[in-house]
Amino acid sequence: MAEEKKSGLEPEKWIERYSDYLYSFAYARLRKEEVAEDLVQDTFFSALRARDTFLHNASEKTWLVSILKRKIIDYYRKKSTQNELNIFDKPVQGSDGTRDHFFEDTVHSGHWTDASAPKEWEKDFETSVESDEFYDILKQCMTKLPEKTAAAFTMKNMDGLDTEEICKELGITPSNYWVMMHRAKLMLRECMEKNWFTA
Amino acid sequence: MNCESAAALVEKERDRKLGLAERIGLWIHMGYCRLCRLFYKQSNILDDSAKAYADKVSKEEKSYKLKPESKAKINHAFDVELKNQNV
Repeated sequence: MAEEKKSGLEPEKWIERYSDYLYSFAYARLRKEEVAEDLVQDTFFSALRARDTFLHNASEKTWLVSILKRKIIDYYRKKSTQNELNIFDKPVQGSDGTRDHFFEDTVHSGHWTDASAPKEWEKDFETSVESDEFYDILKQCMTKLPEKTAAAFTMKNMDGLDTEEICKELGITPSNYWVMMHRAKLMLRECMEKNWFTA
Repeated sequence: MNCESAAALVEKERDRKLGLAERIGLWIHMGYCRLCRLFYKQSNILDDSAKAYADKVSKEEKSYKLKPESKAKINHAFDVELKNQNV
């Protein structure tokens, strides 16, 4: 115990002090209770093992958050290699499992399909963002995105990372990134149009 | 240029300055394609929506709490680990 005091760390107080904060940080990004809980526990264990690397004048909280951030990124990365390795080779799957349903076959025209062509929206942005229901629907539409794409969205919009950083963390090229964002946009647009903007 | 590549360039343009050929191609396509002009407008709205959503979630961030039973479980596991390390 005396050793801990010297390093400025008090592991016996970590759970009490930081577990709620770390959990909310993880949950806000992952939206999965169990995963968030696991990552919080992992963070405390890793921190304990790495306590020699803690710098004396640093804040305990900031240090723990930096470990958690690393774990969140590792989680995204592991997730995406498990089931989305070939996302860039395949066209977006329609809900019926057919190939890309947004555009006509490229060989023919690459034109919007009748079903997916953008329609005029009845609701505007200003009134939408005032509505709780709008966010609920947006959240539902976003959960349909592939895990890696959702990760990129979070890193961009919540953590303010730029394209280079996101690509580095997810192990993809900028071209991969644009294709990914392009397809995410098509999915999101269709989902939001049907369920909110013209609903 | 067809609609599929135009829509892809709209996305890329948010991130990078397009090359000259890309810019001209997109400009010509947008000139005659009403649907892609509409897509462009909606794409901006969706980006703003995603940002608004992220802001909202960030504000809510502080309100999520670990379930007491989960906290107790983590506490217990960590106590065991702490004792092992101090032996």
